[in-house]
Amino acid sequence: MRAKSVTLRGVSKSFGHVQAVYTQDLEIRAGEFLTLLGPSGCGKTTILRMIAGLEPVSTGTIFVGEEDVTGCPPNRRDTSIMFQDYALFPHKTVRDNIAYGLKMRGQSEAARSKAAEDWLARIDLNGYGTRLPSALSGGQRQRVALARALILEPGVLLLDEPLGALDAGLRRHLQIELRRLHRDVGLTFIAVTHDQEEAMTMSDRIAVMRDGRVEQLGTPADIYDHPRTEFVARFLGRCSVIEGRVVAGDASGVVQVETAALGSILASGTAALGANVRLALRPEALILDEAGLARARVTDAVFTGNAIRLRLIASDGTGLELDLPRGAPVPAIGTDAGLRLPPGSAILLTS
Amino acid sequence: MTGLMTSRALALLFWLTAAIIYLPIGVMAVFSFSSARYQILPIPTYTTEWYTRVFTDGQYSTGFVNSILLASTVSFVATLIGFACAYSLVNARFPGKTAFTLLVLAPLAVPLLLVGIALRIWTTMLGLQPSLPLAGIGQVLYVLPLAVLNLRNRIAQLPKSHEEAAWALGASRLRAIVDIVLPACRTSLMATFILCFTFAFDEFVIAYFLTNFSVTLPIKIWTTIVTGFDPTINALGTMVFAFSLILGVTAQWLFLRKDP
Repeated sequence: MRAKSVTLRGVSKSFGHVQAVYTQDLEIRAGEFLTLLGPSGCGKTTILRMIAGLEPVSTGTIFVGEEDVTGCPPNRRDTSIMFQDYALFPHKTVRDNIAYGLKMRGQSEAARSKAAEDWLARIDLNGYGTRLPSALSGGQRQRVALARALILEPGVLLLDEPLGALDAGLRRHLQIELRRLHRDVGLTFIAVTHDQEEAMTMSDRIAVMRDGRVEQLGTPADIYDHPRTEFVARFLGRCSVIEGRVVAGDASGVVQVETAALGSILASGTAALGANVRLALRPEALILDEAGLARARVTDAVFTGNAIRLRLIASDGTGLELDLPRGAPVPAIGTDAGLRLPPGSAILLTS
Repeated sequence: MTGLMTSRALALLFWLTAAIIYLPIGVMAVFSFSSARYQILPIPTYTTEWYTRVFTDGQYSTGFVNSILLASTVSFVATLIGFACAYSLVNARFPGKTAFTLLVLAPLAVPLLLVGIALRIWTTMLGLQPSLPLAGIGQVLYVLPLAVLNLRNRIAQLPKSHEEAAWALGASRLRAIVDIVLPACRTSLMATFILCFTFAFDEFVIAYFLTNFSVTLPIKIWTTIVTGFDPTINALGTMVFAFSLILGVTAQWLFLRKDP
């Protein structure tokens, strides 16, 4: 198998006095699609650039497969990178762009040309080979950049905000395309994005980053359903955060939390008896139920397309969000509504 | 109304400036067609005799050929070294980079006469005989800051990702410069070459100190003048001016056009 794993051991990076990435271990499995997700300035692009060899590490070791590549220049690593601006060579034709890597490997003109034409067909750009990149649309350029990076069949493909320069409609379409491409070529993909929807759609696993550290690493479902921190919970979708105190718990991983906002809540997780904790509630977790024990005042109702998002204020002042399915009766603004929370749907945050 | 007046005043100012710059040369151009040996008005009759003389005087053509050869070589070398220097200045990270940049560009502010004398003293110390190639080396030092300045601005504009993409695709640093950076700087390289050429072509002081007088066109003009005014200078000057103007305008046009 061509795909290679990437291992970061004790890797950190500082620019002068700025610590861009704190000492970090990270293991990316061969053949997986891993996304580094986080706000701008969290260090995700720096990690990508260190793997590519475009940025030297301050400390630590990077392995691509079994090989220690820490001191290797980018042209001697089995990695390829696609940039956010695609970095197509403006004075070279589309075909010469795609074939550039093969030219560097010393392949003959004929072999290069053949391989480039194959890739042009594969990305639906037959007949575009002699054009200059400036004559292509944004989506077409993105495909050319992908083909150029993949023609060498690198063990690892690095994608820096691969869809960042495209409009929303095209992005959603290409997220699926990229996922399919990953399955087809069977290589390791490591992407960087600040868009949580993009990360969840494309990735096998997501590493959520914050301030130079990986805050949580897991599958999209895992991270969405069991965020460990408020930051992760909020970054991967909307949520309300309420505070409470642990009044009962057992070894089975369920605790009872007494909250001022919603009364007694069962949450999955473990915490010491008597500890003050925070709970995250996804908008779809809360259910409107007149028979429910908790009550809150409706302050706002917003149509979001597939749901009506209610904003409520609990008796203690905590703000809550609730998604009401289309067609369900919408309570009048200013009235009190009953709330119910299915057991286990509240997420216990560790921080 | 006021807006219109202001724009008219500005236009007037522009033409006034242009007149101040070009009037003396215009006068020289007019007298280059006068049959009189001296600048007297009214002009007796119009003639192209002085132009004929320029072309028949062997020393002028030798000087012209030497100047063209010298200026082309100097500009080519300066553009090449200037590119290397500009690339390093943009890409290298080293302490004192700002100071180094200033140091590279500072010679522009040093009086040329001093540069000429210093070069003469230095080359004499090294035991080098004054010659055309030696003057060429001196002129490279003179125009190099111009080349560095122009090319540095262009290289700094280039997206770094283009080069990085080439590296990631297997290109060595040098290969990426040749394949990616140089083509992206084509227009700037041409403009820089022409700019250096116009400076080197007109350059007198360094050439005067580092050659044995008689060779380049500016030196020929100088030696002609010091032995008494000769109206062929008017004709020659007019032609050199036209030539320089065309080069200068071309260089400016290239700079304005920019690389794609």
